[in-house]
Amino acid sequence: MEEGPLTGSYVRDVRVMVYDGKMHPVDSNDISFKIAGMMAFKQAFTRADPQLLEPIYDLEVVVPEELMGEVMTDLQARRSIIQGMEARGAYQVIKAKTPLAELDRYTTTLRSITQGRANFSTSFAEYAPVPYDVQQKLMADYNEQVEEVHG
Amino acid sequence: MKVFDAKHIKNIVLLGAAKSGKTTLAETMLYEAGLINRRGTVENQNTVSDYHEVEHERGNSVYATTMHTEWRDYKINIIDTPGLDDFIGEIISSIRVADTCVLLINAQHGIEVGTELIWNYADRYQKPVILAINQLDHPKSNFDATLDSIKNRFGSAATLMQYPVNQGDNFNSIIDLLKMTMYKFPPNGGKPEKLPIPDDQKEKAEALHNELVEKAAENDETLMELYFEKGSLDEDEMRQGLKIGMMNHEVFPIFCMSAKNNMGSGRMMGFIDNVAPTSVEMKPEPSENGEVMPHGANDPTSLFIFKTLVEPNLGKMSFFKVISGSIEVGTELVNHQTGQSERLNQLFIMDGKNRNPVEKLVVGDIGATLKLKSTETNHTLKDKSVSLAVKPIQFPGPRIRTAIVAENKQDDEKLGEVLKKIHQEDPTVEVDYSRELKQLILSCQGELHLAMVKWALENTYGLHIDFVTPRIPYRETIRRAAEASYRHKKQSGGAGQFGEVYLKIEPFHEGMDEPTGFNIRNKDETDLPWGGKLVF
Ligand SMILES: Nc1nc2c(ncn2[C@@H]2O[C@H](COP(=O)(O)OP(=O)(O)O)[C@@H](O)[C@H]2O)c(=O)[nH]1
Ligand SMILES: [Mg+2]
Repeated sequence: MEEGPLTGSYVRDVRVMVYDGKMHPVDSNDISFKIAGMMAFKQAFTRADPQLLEPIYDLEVVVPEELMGEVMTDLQARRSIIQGMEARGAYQVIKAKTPLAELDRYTTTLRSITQGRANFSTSFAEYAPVPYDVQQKLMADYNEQVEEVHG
Repeated sequence: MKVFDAKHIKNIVLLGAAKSGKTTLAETMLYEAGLINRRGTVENQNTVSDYHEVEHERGNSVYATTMHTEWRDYKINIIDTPGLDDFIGEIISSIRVADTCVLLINAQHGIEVGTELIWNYADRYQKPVILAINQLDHPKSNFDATLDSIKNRFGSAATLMQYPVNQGDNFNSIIDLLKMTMYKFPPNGGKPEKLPIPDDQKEKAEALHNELVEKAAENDETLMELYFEKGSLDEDEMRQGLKIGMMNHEVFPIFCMSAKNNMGSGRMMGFIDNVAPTSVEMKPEPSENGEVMPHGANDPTSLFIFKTLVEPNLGKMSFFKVISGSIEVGTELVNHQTGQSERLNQLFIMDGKNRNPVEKLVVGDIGATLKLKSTETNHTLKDKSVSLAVKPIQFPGPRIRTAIVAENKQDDEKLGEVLKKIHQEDPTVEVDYSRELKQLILSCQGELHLAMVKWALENTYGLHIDFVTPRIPYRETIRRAAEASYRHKKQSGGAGQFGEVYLKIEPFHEGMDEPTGFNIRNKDETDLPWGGKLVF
């Protein structure tokens, strides 16, 4: 399942049980069953309360104390969950979990809100469900894209 | 080229925020020693260090550049680095092979954000550090404020060696607290007159001199006893104490200068000659697995490749430091990482783009060679009898990622290859084709770094590209069970197709019960490469 029905992304954590099938004595062959299976899977998937998951990253921002407020406000606007803060010399270290989708060009923003005085690093943490409204939007975008391709 | 032995080779790296004057200082150090007979400037795009076209276009350094100068009986290898942390890869590898870091501080601004960011890396390696307060001729320079910011940041390790008698437009005199002399420079800089300390400065100079003596004495018990007995230390004793302090990363001597007006750099070079440690005095390089690399002049040869540069008309140039023994032209060595043998047919000492051919380089020295087959940055080349490899430089992980596409589809394949070359030169540029996202993903250190990659692709390799937002690798799953069936039928003309399938799907989790109500004929569990499971 390389292309899921929602957005064309990989599918995971699904058990599929094929419990019946009908053949035709002459015309049935492998490809026929593959196509039928694929279509049945897509139908079942949309009925099974599908959920999109997104990659979440651990984010560590090192920032001078007096600029912490700006950085926190920006992080919250990026759907981040703040995990904690600690002092490191004259700096504060903010730890957060942030969706990858919200980290696009974070360097640029961080530089401009801190005049270049902060630094950060990221590493992959986990997959988590996408909020409902975001999922609706992503699915709509994907459908539009698919329609464009198929004319 | 004169051959220097290991005791007369000093390796320094020039570090500091953008525009603090590193490239100008390198030029001045070469000029002062007579290695070049006219000084280029960054504005005129004719410095030895900033020789790449992109550096001329931008007006600042992008690459770390190696040069050398000779001062009295010593050779000083100088690595000039960029000041922006987008190019941190170049900075880190230079720090790694240097034995003393010269951290420039702009007297207009004191410690800057850029100083801090770079300092964090210098500090990590615990290398000896010299602080150079530059631009004291600038009308906006403020020595006292700069010194305060230094003391604030570095505490008592910051050790004043000199102070300016005047600053701004009139800057021409420095009082040296070790030699207790005043240096007065002619209007165009260069060799200063040595004068007695003027009366109105005597009291201040004496007090600061005593502080310096105490600082020198506190690093060594013998010196402390001497100081206790005599109440003072002579010049050589002070040098010895300062050297110990520097090697312990506990004394950071402060020098005063104007790189632009060629005032003060000679005195600092003299100090580097006499006090800064050589490679052979430093703690030996660690090996990959935490052992100690051979490091003697008579040990079998090993070289550490710290930088690779692909010059369009020259090919691949590898920069190395001699870790043990010595290397002569024509020697064959083994690459520890690839197992391949490499013959070093040419050896150079580099001064920017100028290659000075040499026959031999000894332990502690830095040089370059051309056309190695399988050797890349972080590899060790060694004599067969050496079993260890130098611990590789750890480059920081990427901070920015983007998808990259060739404007012209036919260039796709070439783009992949060229990016691989760029990665060889700069390990902080990472490239990866994501099958999942169906995009070529480029990761690096920042916007400016990205802009440089684009510049190189366009100007060096003639490839036009666009950066596009990378797709996000979402996953799709379900939260409840559902059933469906589908009949596929195509029986008009030719071989027909017919198949009908009934299936049920449900959320899968590890350790769930086997399905009931079915006869299981066949079970197929697949671990998905992207995490999670598919069970049939
Ligand atoms: N007034 C003054 N300007 C300087 C001095 N050193 C460098 N500059 C100027 O500062 C700018 C940046 O110098 P550069 O050597 O490129 O700095 P880098 O970025 O640290 O390599 C150039 O315009 C230089 O001419 C100095 O000692 N005094
Ligand atoms: Mg420069």
